[in-house]
This record gives sequence, structure tokens and C-alpha cells, in this order.
Amino acid sequence: MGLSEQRQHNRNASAKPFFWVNILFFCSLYLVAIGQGGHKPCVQAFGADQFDVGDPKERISRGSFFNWWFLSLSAGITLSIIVVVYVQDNVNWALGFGIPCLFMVMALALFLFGRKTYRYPRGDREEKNNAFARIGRVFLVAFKNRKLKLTHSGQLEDGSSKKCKGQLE
Amino acid sequence: MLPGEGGLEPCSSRDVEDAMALVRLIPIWITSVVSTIPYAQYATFFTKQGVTVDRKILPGFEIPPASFQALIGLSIFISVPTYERVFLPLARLITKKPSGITMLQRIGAGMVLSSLNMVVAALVEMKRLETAKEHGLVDRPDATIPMSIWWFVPQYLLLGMIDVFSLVGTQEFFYDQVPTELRSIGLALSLSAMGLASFLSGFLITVINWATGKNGGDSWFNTNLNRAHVDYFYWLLAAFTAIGFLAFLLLSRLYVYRRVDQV
Repeated sequence: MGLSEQRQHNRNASAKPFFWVNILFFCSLYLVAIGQGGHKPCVQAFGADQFDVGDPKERISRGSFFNWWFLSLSAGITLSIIVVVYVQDNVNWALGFGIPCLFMVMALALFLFGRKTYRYPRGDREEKNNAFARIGRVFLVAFKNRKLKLTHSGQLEDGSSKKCKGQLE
Repeated sequence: MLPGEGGLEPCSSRDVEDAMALVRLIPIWITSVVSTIPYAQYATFFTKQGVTVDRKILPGFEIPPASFQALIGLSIFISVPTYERVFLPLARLITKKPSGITMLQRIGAGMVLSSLNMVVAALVEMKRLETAKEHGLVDRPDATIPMSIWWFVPQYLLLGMIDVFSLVGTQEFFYDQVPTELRSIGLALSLSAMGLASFLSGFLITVINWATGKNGGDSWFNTNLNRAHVDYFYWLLAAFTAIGFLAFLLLSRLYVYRRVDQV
């Protein structure tokens, strides 16, 4: 794949494509990266969210989900390495990129098709603040209190950490 | 509860617990980064080694060296069902736990395999260098070394097994152990460990290449692979991973699972 890509690149370079074609090309590459970064962790998390951790059976099924998920992912990658790369090298690039594009659209359609049947977990309780603000604030307050200990006595810090321990363990 | 100061309201115990859960993940994440460094090698050095050996797998057919990566896919096809249908039921019988082995045990097993993989890779590279020397091919990097590409099969197959233990184990672990709203971030964290490991690998190679090649000596990563010593690098990575595993062992003993048996 790498070699043929490079070959294609050289050919393009000698043909001197328009400036905007290059812009378009790199934008599409970055879009792929953004799409991957957003899609990959989220779709897997959403899949795992479909299992109820409260139910011991479903908890085990969730473990299996991660395994089979990984197997299907590898199967898809291996298949596309063989088939799609062949098409890109021997037929043409438009079809080579068209096939994955078509499959993504099909996957999205399939995903949306089932949207009424999915579970949408909301976390453990109703939260007004988002998690980043909520947890970030803990570090902020902890940091401020640390300063406080330096200027005053150690009493405050000691008291708090003792309480903290009791709640965690 | 953390006491608030002045205008700051005290944080709820729940928030503190979530924050602590994140902090506890950091050391585990670091050890998993270290033990993923070997994983960055298969696309580069494994392939480079493959170029130099005899790649005839069928009469008249030479396999392209990069295509050997398909073996990882094959190994995953074998490893996942074996893990699910054979290994887990056996583990359940032995440990009497519904989950078979804990997530941390699974990741640890992956780390051991990862270290083992580097040992295997180092031994195969030593054999390759030896064969090159025997046939007087040391200064002829373009010549084919009379050693079959099949020698490289074990290290590729091990990679697939490492995936099943380490990679999937880390994904499940980070998904499960971060606060509920941050689950996709947890998965992103496990993926980013791989990315960082690749950067670290590149950094290590740059430093070693500079250190071993500076006084006119042969660098470990000499362009002529027969004069290079990739095997030393593999031994180094095996040691790193082993140290990472020992640290991980210690850390996982101290680790408190979050919400593990919440029913």
C-alpha cells in the first residue's frame, strides 16, 4: 500500500495538480483522522453501554463483546487490506476509495436503523455539571487547599484526607 | 469531602471518588505505554528483516515482506475464539470466578507475552546475522540470506495473542474503570497509549542511533541491516517490557477496582 501510494504521489507531483486540489486532498485526509478519532472510541463505548453491568450475566457478555468486537475489526481490516488494496492498485483509485465510502454509508444507515432499540445510559445519576468540570474542580480545590496547608497548620489537610480515605475504602 | 476555601463550595464525595479513580489509572497507563513499545516494531524492523531473507513460500511465489503482517490478522482469528471458548472456561473452572481472570491479570499476561515476543524476535535476528556471516553476506545487503521467512512466523503470531490479552484487556479495563460519563475518554486513553508508545519507540531509536553511531562505529540501526544490531534493540525492549511488567505487578496489587461488584 505504502509503495503504491508513493508511486501515485510521484505521478501527481509530475502532473502538477492545481493548488486547490491539494488543499482538498489534505482536508479530506484530516477529515478522515478526525472522523476516526471521534468514531473509534465512541462507537465501542456505545456498544459496551448496551450491556447492563448490574446483571452478572450481561457483565460477562460485555467482556465477550470486547473480544468479538476486536475480532470483527481485525477481520474488516484484513479483508480490506486484501481486496481494497488490490482494487486501488489494479482498477482505479476512485473505486478504491469509493468502496470504503459506500461501506461507511451502509454502516451508518444500519446503525440509525436500530436507534429506537438502543439503550442510552445517562450515567449513574442526573448531573447538572459535565464530568470535566465536576472532576476538574476536585483537583482545583485540592490544589488550593494544599497552599492553605502551607500557610496555616496541617490540621485541615489531615482532617480531610482521613475522611476521604473512609469514603473510598 | 474536601473542605472548600472561601468562595469554593466543598466537592461532593462522589466527585472526589471519580477524581481519585482517574489518578489511580495514571500509573497503570504509564506501564501499559512502556510495554506497548515492542508493538511499534512490526511495521518497520520486522518488515526490513523480512526483505533480506528467502521469501519463497511456494515454488515460484515470493511473498512481499509487508504481507507477512496478514499473519497478525490470522493469529487474531485463532486467538479470540480460543480465548473465549477454551481459555476463559478453563480459567473459570480454576479461579471459580465468573469473569475467569481479572482485567489486570489479563493485561499482565499480555505484558509477559510482549516481553517474550521481543526475546523471540532477538533470537531470530541473531540467527539471521549468524547466517549472513556464515555465507559471507555481511557487506552485501542486497543479497538474499539463505534463511526462510518462516522463521519470522512465531513473532507475528505472538503479536496477535498480545493483542487479545493486552490490547483488548486495556480497552475493557479503561472503559470499565473511568467515571461513567468518561467512558469514551477511557477508550481513547487506551488507544492513545499505543500512539505514545510509537512516539517513544521513535525517540529511543533516534537516541540509540546517535549514541552507537557517533564515533564512526556501526550503529545498531545501520542502513545495512547485516551490519546493524537490531537484536540488541530487541533485547533492550524485552528488558524494558519486563521492568514495566514488574512495576505493573506491584501497582496492580495496590490497585483498588472501582465498582467491581456493583449489583
